[in-house]
Amino acid sequence: MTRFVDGGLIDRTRPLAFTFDGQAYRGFAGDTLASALTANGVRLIGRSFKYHRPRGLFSAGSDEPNALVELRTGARREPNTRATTVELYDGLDAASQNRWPSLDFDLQAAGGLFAPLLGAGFYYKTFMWPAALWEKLYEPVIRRAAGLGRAAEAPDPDAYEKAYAFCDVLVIGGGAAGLMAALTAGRSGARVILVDEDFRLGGRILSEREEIDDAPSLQFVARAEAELAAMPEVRVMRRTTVFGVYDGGTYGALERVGDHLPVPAPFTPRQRYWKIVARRAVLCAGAGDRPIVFGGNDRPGVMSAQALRSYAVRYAAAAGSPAVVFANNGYAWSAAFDAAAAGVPIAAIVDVRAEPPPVQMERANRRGIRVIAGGEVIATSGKLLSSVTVRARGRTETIAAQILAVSGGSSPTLALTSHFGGKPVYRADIAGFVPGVLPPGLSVAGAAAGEYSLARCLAAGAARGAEAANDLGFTARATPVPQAQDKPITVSPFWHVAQSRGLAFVDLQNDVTAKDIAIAHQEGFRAVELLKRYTTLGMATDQGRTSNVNGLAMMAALTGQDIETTGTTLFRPPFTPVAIGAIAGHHREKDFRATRPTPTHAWARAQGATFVEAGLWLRAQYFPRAGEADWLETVKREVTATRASVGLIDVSTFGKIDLQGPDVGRFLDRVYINTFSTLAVGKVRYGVMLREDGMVMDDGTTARLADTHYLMTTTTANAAKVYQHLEFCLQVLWPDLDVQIASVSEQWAQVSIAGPRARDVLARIADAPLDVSNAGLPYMGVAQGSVMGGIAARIFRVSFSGELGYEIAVPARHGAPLARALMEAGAPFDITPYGTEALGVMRIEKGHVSGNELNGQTSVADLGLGRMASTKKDHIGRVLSERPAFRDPDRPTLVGFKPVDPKDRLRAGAHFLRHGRSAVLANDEGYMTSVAFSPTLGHWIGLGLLARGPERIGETVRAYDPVRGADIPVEICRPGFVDPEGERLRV
Amino acid sequence: MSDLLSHHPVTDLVPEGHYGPDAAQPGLTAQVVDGLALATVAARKGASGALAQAVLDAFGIALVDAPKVSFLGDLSFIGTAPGRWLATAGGAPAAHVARLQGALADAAALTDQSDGSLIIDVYGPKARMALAKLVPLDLHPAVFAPGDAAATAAALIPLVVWQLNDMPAYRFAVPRSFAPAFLRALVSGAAEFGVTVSGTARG
Amino acid sequence: MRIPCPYCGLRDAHEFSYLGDAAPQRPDPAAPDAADAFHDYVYLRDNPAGPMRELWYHGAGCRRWLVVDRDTRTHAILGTAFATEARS
Repeated sequence: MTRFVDGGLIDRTRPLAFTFDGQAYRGFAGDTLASALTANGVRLIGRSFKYHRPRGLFSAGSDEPNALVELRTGARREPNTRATTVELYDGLDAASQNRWPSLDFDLQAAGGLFAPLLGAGFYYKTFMWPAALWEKLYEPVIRRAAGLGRAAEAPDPDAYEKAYAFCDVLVIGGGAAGLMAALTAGRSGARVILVDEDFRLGGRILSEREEIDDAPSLQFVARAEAELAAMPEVRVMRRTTVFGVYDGGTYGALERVGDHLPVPAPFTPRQRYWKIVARRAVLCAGAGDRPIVFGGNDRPGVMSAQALRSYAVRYAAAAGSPAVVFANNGYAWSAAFDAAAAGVPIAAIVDVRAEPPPVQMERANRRGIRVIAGGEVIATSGKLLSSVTVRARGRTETIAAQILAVSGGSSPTLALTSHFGGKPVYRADIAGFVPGVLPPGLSVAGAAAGEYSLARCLAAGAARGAEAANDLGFTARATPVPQAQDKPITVSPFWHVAQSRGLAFVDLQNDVTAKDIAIAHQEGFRAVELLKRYTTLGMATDQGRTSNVNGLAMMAALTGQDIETTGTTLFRPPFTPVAIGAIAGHHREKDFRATRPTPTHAWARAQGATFVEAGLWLRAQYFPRAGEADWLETVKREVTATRASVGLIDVSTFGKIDLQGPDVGRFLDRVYINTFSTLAVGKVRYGVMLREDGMVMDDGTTARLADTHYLMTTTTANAAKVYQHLEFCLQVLWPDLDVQIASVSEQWAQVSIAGPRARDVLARIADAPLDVSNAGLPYMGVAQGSVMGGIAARIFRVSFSGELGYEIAVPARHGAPLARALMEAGAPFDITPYGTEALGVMRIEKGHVSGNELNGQTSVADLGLGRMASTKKDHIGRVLSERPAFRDPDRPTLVGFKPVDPKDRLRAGAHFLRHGRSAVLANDEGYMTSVAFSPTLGHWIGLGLLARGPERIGETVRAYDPVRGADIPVEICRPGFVDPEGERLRV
Repeated sequence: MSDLLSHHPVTDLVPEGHYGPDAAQPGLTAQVVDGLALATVAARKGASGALAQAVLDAFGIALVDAPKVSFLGDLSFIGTAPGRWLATAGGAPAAHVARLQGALADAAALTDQSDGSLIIDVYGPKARMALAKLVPLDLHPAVFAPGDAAATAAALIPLVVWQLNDMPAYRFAVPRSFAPAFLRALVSGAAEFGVTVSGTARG
Repeated sequence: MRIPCPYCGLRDAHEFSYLGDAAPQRPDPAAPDAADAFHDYVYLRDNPAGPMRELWYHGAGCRRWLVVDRDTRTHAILGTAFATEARS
């Protein structure tokens, strides 16, 4: 066992069982998967992305590039989780990934088989030629060789949700700086949200043996937590990562509500996606250790110096003994001292500096730790690290070690600061990049700003927290600040051991080596953005948090430029990966979007209706009866019954807009191509409206209910669009008009009855004195009264089917009772409910245009409605609809079609060609927009747009449909196959 | 989507009952309110002053042209847009509209909306926490208090919400066809706190 | 992005839909050059890098059309007004 007998922030009274690659282990509450594996001596955790090299833990945090595992099994299997951030729970089941047949023996790693093929820019050159081999050979091979974990193959059984939060000050990171920022802002009364990605507040304090106010620093954390918890306006969110900064002080955050449990607690989600709106934010994200690039630096056992300290101090564990430390800075020495104190034997500290600061030398001496100054690690050996070879002052020496703790200095965790394009700035004195131009409202404190000592973190956190609160009008004080060590930064820039043996990795996650950087340089991909894309440096899921700086520093060395001039790439959201499920939240499967039932939905369901989506609406598509073979048979019956007697359909989904005011008539004249100011009260008119570019936008009927009161209907699809258009016209174009509009689409249920017996049915439900006779309510009339014994109703005598028809509108709560009343009243006439399919058939039989024809590319002339347009007035779209191209007689224009052979089936989308012409674009004469089998005529019919169509009635053309392999002769006819003169409408 | 509602038709209102832990002490209640009449009141061009005067004269209510609730007794005017209110009152729709018509017709366009929206009250100690998952507004008591109103969209559903009291209780006017989706979204998020749904049986 | 609606207050940009430049005014349809003027009105737009007055519709709120002054480089909102007032 490699767990120390005491110490650590683990609860030894709560042992937890878990498995890794099927092997059972035990850890404790407070462990991460990584620390528990460490405590169990497991050093080999994964295989690398491209070369399948054995890898162990590099870090102890969210910057981990190596230790990606599959967590859980079955439908909950989650690939690519970082073992370093997975909180251990009882029964946790993890598996290594990207290895075959086993983690220990991976065939594809044999001899680095693929290494020569997969170097920098490999996909730009190695597999370029011949192209035919790409799909068949290269891609499958690469996909098998290179990869991450496997996604679950079953639907995720857990819930995810979104939530909104608002605050004055958002503090990102709960370490020394973050705690002080939150305390300072919180004490002023500001609304504060403190977010930390860990399950325990404290940041690096948890991993360091430091003192604050002359007491162990953990006591400070405990006091701060207690004080924050007592503040009513402060909210502390653990297990939550701020992953993105967005405009207007909006921050995206992911809370892992149930990831630390075998399954989420009842009624809670696995993860919650937060949109946090903060007036100010303070980023206190700390810093991470940067590796040094040298041959064999990816061997399991090579880890960051801070990781060694974290496992030893926080988790009381070390994956082996002894450790050698390889560094260029004093902070790594502190890590070595803390680790030693916790129980890790330190065989040597190898420092590239020839003369490390005397104070550090003295501390090492006091602890009896050997120091090799001016030394470099030039090689490592063992499948799992067993020794390191050090060169110093011309001598090489091999030292037995199971851990090599490396630190090339600290890299501030500044990813969020560049989400607005702010370029990090190089600071030579700390050999690292610090935040540049910050997103509005965000400040940075502590190690994330390159302020490393504990004292400075505390002070900076307090200062930024106070500034943020004071900016917002609160009175916050940045003092007093607790006392702590203020050791100076001592670092000597060092990136790469040029003379070393074996592959030297720059980007561990994407397997980018020092050699790849050299190739990129040699081939001219020297700018950092090119370097990134050519080598894939920093393009892995960790966005190069441990690799970018080394990569660009090495490029700087190759080009002879300094690091400032070389610059760095930017980070983008998300800071750490975010599951798509969390982004979707509640909106998946049946709840992907709202489903809108019509007022008669439950009634139609009881009638056995099949439903179809129409936008968000669910409409009855047809009403099958027992014994009917298919939907076509059902639809035939519905059409036939309607034309023979009477049918019924819910048309509530049409948009309905109430217009009131003295200027409505004038307004409608400008919106519609035809005139409405002259419409008599009690009358309905069909109208077409255009976009300003002259194309048809929508159509529908509008009724004049009273002198200054109109009611417009729109198509189902365009209800919201037309409403927005009308508001645009009223507010932007003609704000002088006195017109008030209101959507009443939801207020009124509307049921259409059609067929020769429609009036008989209506008469049975109409209350006196409503006169529904042909004289009392003529075609295109509207009557207001009541039905069903006192239900207020509006009755529009309009028809889409071509039959005698009425649309009866009642307040929505009465929609289903209306349908039932009509069914009862219509029973003597065998009234038949029909759905959108039959409606579509009848409108095609009648030659009415619908969504297929109103497709945004048709003019009124194209639709045969040109004569409707009033020439006496202006209206939206008039000027541009008079452009020459609109009047081109060759424009495809609406006509009807029937197959020459009545047995042929027509297909919407078929293109028209003259006989004998080849099927090329130049010969295209238009296309079929709508087709239906007409039960009335006994064969297929269609509507379509054909060049000079109306002049060619009686001709035949080919309906050419290569997609479905049809090429049939069709006859051009007038649109309007049934009752073309409209006699049935007026009876 | 959780298992909680996966078996209920998306077209139907969430059935009455308790969802989540601890039925004895629901964190919140979602109640469909019957018997409230609604109407849109939109000031005629240049008649805002006249409308305010008419409302004051007829109903004794000082109409506020802002997203606020102006009310007396059971008649409330909820500001939804400049010069525009949703007027609610108990009783029959026809009587409500007639009463408004009688007093305000010269200054405003009136439209019955009693069937256009379902009124859903959400109240209880955890209402604010549950609504944080649904409503993209800051409902902190210092920001949104009794008498405040907002037209917004929650879970992609357009709605109007106003606060009734500091229990807290919130009243939602949800377009009728969106009410099932609204309740699904509400209950999915609120079940964590225990939510009782009532008034949906009559749907 | 968050847009301060003059009526509703600060709201997420998701509640709004975007039209574009607020500058073009619908030309006089009776003018002799109406065809050209309408062509420019419908199709020609500047694409400035910097402050721009734009039309936005608060469709998920008060349904007012707004003129929003926005810096296209930074998304900073410099001011908003109702279109009825900003343009009349």
